[in-house]
Amino acid sequence: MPRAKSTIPPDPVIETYKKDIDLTLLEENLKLTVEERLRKLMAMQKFAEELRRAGKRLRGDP
Amino acid sequence: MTDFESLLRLLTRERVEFIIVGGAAATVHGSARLTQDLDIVYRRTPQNVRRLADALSPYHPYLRGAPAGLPFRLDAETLQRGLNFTLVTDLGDLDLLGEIAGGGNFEALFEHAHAIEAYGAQCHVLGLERLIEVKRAAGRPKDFEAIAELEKILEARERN
Repeated sequence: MPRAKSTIPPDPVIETYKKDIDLTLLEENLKLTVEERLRKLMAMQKFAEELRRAGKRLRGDP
Repeated sequence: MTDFESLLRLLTRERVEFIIVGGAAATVHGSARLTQDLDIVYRRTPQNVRRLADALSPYHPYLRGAPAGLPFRLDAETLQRGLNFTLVTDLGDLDLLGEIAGGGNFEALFEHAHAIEAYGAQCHVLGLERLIEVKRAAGRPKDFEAIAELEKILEARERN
């Protein structure tokens, strides 16, 4: 059955932000299953934490 | 890191009624943005509140950002007395929401939720359109980019 069109009216502010969205990232994500998307999110979190730790080491923070 | 797998498995195994909202819901729908915590809207029936408290208590839930040593115990009574709780647990950051701005409570959101399966667990996530509406209603500038991305996902879905 065809999906009904969205009834959300366009918002000019949001339309401006849409121009900067990287569609290639979205297209890749949409090919994944829900579980794969969540696993990818956890991997990103892990990477971000490692970068934060590296930044701390760089600044000589305890 | 928030262990989404363990949290979802735990909550579904303990038969907690909840809906995934926020950034994790956006991920489920295909967002590429990084989110740090799991936000859920939980049903506030006495039975469900008890299940939720019992499920989380072995994982040392504590108020996120609160000074260490502050007396806090997450039990059914605490949940009933409050509404929204931002927690840190042994499994990561978890926000328990009795209701959300622009979306209401579990019952109001449930008709806009979809059943999903992840890690062998069956749970519910807020539908994409409702998620966009809720984020729009919150009106937070920090959400503008996230909303734009979700609307792009919605457009892509409608094209396909």
